[in-house]
Amino acid sequence: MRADGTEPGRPVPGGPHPGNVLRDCARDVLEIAEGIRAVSERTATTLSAPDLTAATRRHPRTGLAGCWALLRALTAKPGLGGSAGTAPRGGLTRALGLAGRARGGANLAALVALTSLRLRIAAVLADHPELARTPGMRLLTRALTADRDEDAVRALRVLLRDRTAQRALSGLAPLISELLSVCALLDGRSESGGTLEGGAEAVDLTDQRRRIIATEGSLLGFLRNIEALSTDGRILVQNVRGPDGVVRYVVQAPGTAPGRPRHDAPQDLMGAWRDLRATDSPYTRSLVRALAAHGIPRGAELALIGHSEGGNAVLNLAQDEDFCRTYRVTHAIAVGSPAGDRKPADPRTWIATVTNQYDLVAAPDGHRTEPAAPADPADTTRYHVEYAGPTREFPLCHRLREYIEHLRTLLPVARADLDEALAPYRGPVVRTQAYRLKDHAHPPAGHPFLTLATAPVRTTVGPVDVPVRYYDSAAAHLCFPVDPAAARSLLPDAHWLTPSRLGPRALAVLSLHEHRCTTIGPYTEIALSVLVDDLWRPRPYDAVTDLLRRVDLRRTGRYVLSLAVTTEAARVVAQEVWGQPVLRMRAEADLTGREIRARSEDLGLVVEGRLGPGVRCPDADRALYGRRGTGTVRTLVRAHGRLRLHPGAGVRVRLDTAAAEPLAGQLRRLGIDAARPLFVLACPQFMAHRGGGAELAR
Amino acid sequence: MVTESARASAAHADELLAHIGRLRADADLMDGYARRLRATVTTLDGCPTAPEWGRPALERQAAACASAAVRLRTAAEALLAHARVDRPTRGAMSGPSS
Repeated sequence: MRADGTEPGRPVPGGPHPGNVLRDCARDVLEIAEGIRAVSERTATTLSAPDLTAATRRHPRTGLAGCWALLRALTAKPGLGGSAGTAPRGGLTRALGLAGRARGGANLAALVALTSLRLRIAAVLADHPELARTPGMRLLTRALTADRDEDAVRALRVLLRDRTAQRALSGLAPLISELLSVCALLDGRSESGGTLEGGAEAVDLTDQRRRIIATEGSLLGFLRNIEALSTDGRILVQNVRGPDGVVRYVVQAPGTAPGRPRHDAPQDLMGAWRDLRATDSPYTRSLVRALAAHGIPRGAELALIGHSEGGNAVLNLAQDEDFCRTYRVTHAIAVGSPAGDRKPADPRTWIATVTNQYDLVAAPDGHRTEPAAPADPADTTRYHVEYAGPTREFPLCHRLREYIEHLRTLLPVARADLDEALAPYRGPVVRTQAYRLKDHAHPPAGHPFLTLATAPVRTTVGPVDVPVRYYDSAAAHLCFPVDPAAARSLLPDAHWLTPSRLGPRALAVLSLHEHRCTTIGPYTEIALSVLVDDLWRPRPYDAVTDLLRRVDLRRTGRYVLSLAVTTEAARVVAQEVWGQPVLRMRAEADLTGREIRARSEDLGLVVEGRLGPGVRCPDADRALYGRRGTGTVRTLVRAHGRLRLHPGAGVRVRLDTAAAEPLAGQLRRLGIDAARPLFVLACPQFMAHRGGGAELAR
Repeated sequence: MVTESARASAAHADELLAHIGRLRADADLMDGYARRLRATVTTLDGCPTAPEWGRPALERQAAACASAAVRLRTAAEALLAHARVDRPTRGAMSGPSS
């Protein structure tokens, strides 16, 4: 203990918050990394300068000595360790750049940037330890915990280029800014490269959604409209007749939803990143095209309202001089968006922001106890609301539903102020039109495997598009030989439902799924199923011969005995669309590496172990059976990934509960409550789609 | 022609001197970065949630910055020697002060 009564390593009482200390350090280190990169660029420029080359030709002895010293300064380790930037690439510097990249490109700027990112991650986890379990954070920490810094740089570079991984990373809102900077330092190029394109087409809303859309102009009504659009790449434009009889236009733009695909809408991760920094992005371009398609006359008055990235986009539009010359933007309101100091192109535009200080998207630095002071207190065209919400849990506090609830209950004064400001837009809605935004520059997510025709199916949580598509999932199917009589006893009491036999045994499968990005949101799934014969004409070797058939021609399938999922949407879909016996439980799974682990406290189930060597095998397409009423429901699952067959010796199932139901009792009756599987079919990353359930008269 | 050639030669020499000045300034910057990284180590020492790897990684990188500063100064000196040889008639070429 020190003389002042504090212990080393512990914060001084009343001292700065540890998260803030780490965040400040990360920011400082990132600034240093950018400075080192600039030094590296200048040194590379000097090395390839034509005047130096010319002088070297005149006096080779001293010239070559100078060039050698420069080359050493640029590439030696410890030191700058290689060219880091985008300096003009002559023959020598180009060769150096290529050589550096081939070696992993771990120059000093990249290594320092890596340190900054690690510090930033530590800061985020100090405030939000729950983020450690998110798929994106797991991917990131796995990349950053390589033994050597050079390996970590290489792994991070691979991760940042992986389009599939970007979906998981998009959930890491508090780190996006750092990831952007580190990405630029690792790649040596600006993140805004490439052609920016955008498009929009008018689309109809389903009856169910149309009923939710507000018919009177009000702040909460507009925000509820945005929520109803459910971040699937659509925006809404409403014509509102104001109290003075003038028709004005309200543009409503939703934001991102981590764990859901973006289809072909430009609200993807890179789009969101660009939106944070650039006034010109595919999203904003698409918005402009949607407004043009809506037929809004020049000079008409517009209010722009957005949430999250949608808020960013509308603030960007308010800064766009061309746009503001075409239309009169009277209001721009951003909810849950990182606002910054935005100066509108039209000084008359009223800018408002609403920010929960625990929302890591809107306030990535968090812990701001005082609202940001306006640049000019007398400025009546700015209105900033910053408040501390009742929960710190992220991403819950970023959800628009939470903001709406807070405006309704916690912030009545702010809501009244905003409604008063929107008075010209408070009147009957005379036209509502949705537009789907498109990014022509990129194929839709999951193309071509997941480019499917879909149809909405009515459920108690609203319409669900079927087939349900899984863009980024991991799975491990633990296969156990079990007693056929025990398996039969768990199936419904019908003589035509019999377990398939593989020799003297039946086969039970404990399936673990980690769905990181799906059309019904991310969730974890644990399912127990038994392989069953053809429901009408069972044959002895169907289970084996079916392995050679396409999934849609198979007669056998897996009857789902028990299913646990972690979200309400997944529960409703499994029960109402696929007829499976499902419960909503807490569970988590990490199935992306050699060490697999799944755990559900509610089920008292732990599966963990190390997968041994495996061999590639065909995709795990399957037919699943469930029950609805007196009928059987057959669902086809098509998967596309790199499935591998592993021996099951390294994996163990453990039950930490004495309860009989759910799942635990079935596992005990099958005798697999503490067993090792015969083999494991595992796939750390795959895409899949599940069609609607077809009812069979059995 | 002779005058033109002399002018071009003088311009090349000035460019070289500018490069030398930039290298020296960058060396100072790298020394500054090394100091800031070491200051970050000190700051992190008082932070209970600072990761364990922080101190060694930052000290390694601070040492690399200092080493880079030395190499940049060495390169500046080598280029200065070259500039003197390339244009000996210009007089005392001490180069721009850093």
